[in-house]
Amino acid sequence: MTILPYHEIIDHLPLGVLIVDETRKICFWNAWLAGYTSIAGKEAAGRALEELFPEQDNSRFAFALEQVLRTKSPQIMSQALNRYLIPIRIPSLERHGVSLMQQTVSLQYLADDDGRGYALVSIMNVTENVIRSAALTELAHKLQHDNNRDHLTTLYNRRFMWEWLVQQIKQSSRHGYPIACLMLDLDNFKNINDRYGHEEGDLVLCGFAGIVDEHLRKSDILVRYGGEEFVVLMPQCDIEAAIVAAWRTVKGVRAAAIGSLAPGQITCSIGISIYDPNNPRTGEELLKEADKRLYEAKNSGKDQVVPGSM
Amino acid sequence: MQLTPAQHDALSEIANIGASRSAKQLSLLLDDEIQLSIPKVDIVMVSELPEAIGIAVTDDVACVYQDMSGCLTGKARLIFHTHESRLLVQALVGSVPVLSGISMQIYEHEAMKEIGNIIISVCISTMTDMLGKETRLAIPMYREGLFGEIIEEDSRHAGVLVMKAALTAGRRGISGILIVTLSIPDIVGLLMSLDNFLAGCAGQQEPE
Amino acid sequence: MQKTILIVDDSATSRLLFRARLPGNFPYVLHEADSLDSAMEKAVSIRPEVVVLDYNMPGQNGVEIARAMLKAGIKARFVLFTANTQKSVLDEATAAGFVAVIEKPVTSEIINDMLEKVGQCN
Repeated sequence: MTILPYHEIIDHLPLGVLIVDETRKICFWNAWLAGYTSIAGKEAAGRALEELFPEQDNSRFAFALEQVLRTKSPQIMSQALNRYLIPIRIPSLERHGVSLMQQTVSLQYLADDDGRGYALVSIMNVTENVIRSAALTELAHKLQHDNNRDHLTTLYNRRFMWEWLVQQIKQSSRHGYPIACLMLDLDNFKNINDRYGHEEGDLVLCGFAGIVDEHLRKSDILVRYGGEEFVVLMPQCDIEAAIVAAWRTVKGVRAAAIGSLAPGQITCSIGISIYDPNNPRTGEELLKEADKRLYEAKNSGKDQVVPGSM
Repeated sequence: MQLTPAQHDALSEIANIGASRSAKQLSLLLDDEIQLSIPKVDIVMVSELPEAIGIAVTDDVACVYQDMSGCLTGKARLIFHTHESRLLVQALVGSVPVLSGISMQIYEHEAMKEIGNIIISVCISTMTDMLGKETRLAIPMYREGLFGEIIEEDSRHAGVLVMKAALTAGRRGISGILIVTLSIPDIVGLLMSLDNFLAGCAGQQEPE
Repeated sequence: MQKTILIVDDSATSRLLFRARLPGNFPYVLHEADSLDSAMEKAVSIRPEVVVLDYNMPGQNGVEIARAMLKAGIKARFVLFTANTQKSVLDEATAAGFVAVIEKPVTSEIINDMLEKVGQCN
């Protein structure tokens, strides 16, 4: 069998290969590394890696090297926990948010004919995987977010609300606290759409949502329930506090310039119901009652709050 | 397989040193304080393993393993409950939402492999250093699955050295078990080395 | 009266190893204890110059035991004995007033090193 030019083979491999001897000095540095670092094999030979890249913290590599040379067993340095071993700039990747090549490194023990030990260090470029993975992760987060949100107002959607409410009712029953439910509706919204156009209508919806949000606590959620219908759910909130918050909201909306409309042109009506853990009912029943109260508010002149009976 | 009290104490101390050194290396790697509990050690038969370590054959586990050759031939495996190991890695590397079963845990296997490799190589090398047993480890591998499937390939007649410890990293606690499956002759050899080690220490004592 | 050193470690093997690695001409008499209670008893009765404490012990760790001893009025130089030389552990030891941290497994060099560090404190 012909003896192949192994030296050349290693030089041609599409990954970084360096060999370190027992004194921690580099005795082989392949063409891939020379190309990416602009450090020629001859330059690297006889020097330690820390000498070539002094600003780097090489302690992880130093430990891995020591383990390999002493115990003759392999070590790996994952990209996830180490990012890279050799700093290599890749300008074309900068627009993806990565400036240095991301690397997975593997160290293996080698011995020569005289029994002297070496560490074979293989460096794999995994930057593309990392970028793709990061993009997928971002997409996954966005999808998860979008699944739960109304597109226009970015408020939570009904889907999310029902899931959330089921959990909150469980908590409420376990810990014995009430949940307030406010159903809000913009008064005469159809007229606004007809008069000022749908684009203005959309602005009004977003503006309205913003004002309502100002009157809520961190633990409350604001949901776009329908076209111009909104729901606020407030855990650990009793009827008195809910009424106060609702009236504040009604006054706030009345006093604000929303979209391109002057203050006073937009008003809203609010119906309130309370979930009482001592008298359990379903989420649907809770919202149904709030809806009834809202209907009463609409029929009593709008721009007001009608609370449920406790 | 019964360990004498002296053997048990010696093995525990060796495991303690291995675990402590691993903790130190992990703390440097993860740039965080790592706590490792005092490991509990034992030697059992493969058939007794699930009961001895409290992991059922039907439990879902994550496993980093390395083949061993030389004076001690067999397999070193670091076992975690899958759920716990995911939480640990997420705490260290960041979390990825799981959407309709599509899991993007590409990083997690890599990171677990490296963490497992450090623990296995430090613990095994501590043992072989102190007892003078030359052993080579192969490259670390990672797999997930049912515990029963993972130890299926072990011979019924093999013995297992067990070291159980709790690791706390990134404010997350997770308990892992290092199991080293060896042939009975190798286990006997290991116990003999333990006895020699203890005798050596005793022999070196200065007369009082 | 000869100076004494007390080693506190729950592992008999560890204490055995320490005794086995004592360098020739070791200037102290070595006493042993395996728990907080036996350590306190011995410390009070033999009044050691140096107390070597294992870090990883069931119940209280070595630093906590040193604190308990200081509180009980035991005047000795404390040395922490551990394979877990993480920064957090070293910081804990320094804060508690340990004069040295020595690594496991122990060797004669390590013990000599420790003697030097203890000597520097006098």
